[in-house]
Amino acid sequence: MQTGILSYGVALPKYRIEAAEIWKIWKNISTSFFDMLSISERGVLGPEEDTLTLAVAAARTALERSGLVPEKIGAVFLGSSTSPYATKAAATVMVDALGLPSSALSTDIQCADKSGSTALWLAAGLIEAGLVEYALVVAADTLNRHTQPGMVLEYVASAGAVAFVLGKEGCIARLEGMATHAHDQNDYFRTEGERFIQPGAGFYGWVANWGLLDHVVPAGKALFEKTGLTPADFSKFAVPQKTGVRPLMTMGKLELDMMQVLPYVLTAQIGDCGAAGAMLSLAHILDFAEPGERVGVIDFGAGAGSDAWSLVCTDALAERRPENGLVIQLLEDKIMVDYATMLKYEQKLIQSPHRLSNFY
Amino acid sequence: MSTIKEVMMSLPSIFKPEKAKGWNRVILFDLAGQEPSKWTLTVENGVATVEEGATKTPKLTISGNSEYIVQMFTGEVPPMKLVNAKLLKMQGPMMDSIAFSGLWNIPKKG
Repeated sequence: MQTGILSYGVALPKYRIEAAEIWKIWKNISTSFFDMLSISERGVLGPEEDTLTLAVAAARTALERSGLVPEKIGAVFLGSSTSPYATKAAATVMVDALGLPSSALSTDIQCADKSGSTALWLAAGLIEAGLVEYALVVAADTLNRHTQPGMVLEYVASAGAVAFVLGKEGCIARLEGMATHAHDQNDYFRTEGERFIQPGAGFYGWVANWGLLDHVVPAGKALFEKTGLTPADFSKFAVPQKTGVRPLMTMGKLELDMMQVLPYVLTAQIGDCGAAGAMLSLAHILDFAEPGERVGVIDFGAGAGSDAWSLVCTDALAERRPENGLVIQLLEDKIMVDYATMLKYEQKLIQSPHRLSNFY
Repeated sequence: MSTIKEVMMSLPSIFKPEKAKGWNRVILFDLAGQEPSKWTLTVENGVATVEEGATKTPKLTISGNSEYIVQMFTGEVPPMKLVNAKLLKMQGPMMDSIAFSGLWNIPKKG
């Protein structure tokens, strides 16, 4: 393939809450699970943050790093399972907010936590076919706003956005191959009209990850078969990371080495960023990768499906490596809040409609 | 047998920096046993440094007897064997505990 990643950008909410702060309110899980599941902190949305604001922030960084003029972008895809709109495209808001051309093919793409990965490959197909020259793809989610207080997912439900500019010229990492696997298997879901995500099979224990291995293993094996590569040909992998259990399950069943996977798992630092989760891990890897390194991505979306893909870093990565806005810097740039503030910011409190105007 | 100070001070020389790119952590060794002591290991930007005492807030705390740490880093006993036997305890995200064990060129004893 000639298509690859020209640039990327990341946006994370600055506000964070410690799992222990949530536990103080609910006491609904043994605290021994925190270390076992690598649960520590998770993102809290700011009062005016949502999937779109995070997506636009990440996209701004990616576009700036690409050096492209906006008119060059021929497709704008937003991969998210928590669009602010149930009906209506959110990607069109991005087009306006970023000053992108109206001639760009713009749409939302939803496949749960792998929405961004799938959007990236759809855009790559358009570029590879010569239908567009460059595309902007954003993986963004706000699982925290869509998680009910008292549900154990609350300990990890987080938010974030990772944007990629794709094209053929000037890639820092070239896409190499992909495989996918999907069939209906219901774990996490929201039905029409619901705000909060339902767990189909609980939160911890083997059953909570029902569906993961049924998809990740065939997708991963298909990638190795299609490309003729083995796990040893990869330097690093970005994998599903709802909790620390999923990377271990993925790693074990696909026979990946622990040091190819575990240093790039960010669950303990930021929680489960949904569609941005594995992509955030990929961005973290790219922040420190070297030219020639082959990186694997294995993403998983509830419902369920998995995309497995490979990319190879080019010499351009060394020349255009970002110096600011690294994932590790964004993770450390944080303001800790308490449970009540989290509830207020994530709009989970019953509120007066006059809360900002009843000072008389 | 090496002393705990010798072992702790040797950590930067057996550290695998290529495995720790982007893995910045503070690890506290809170040790009892033959040589009770505290040591702070900082891994930052691919460099490992060690200070005596609890000098920073850790993300991962390793506790147990000092002689087990000596045995672990000199290759006398595999790290996971010590952890599984509950001779060493790691407190912090499991991801960090496992990743930590892969950061060292521990000599292999026949």
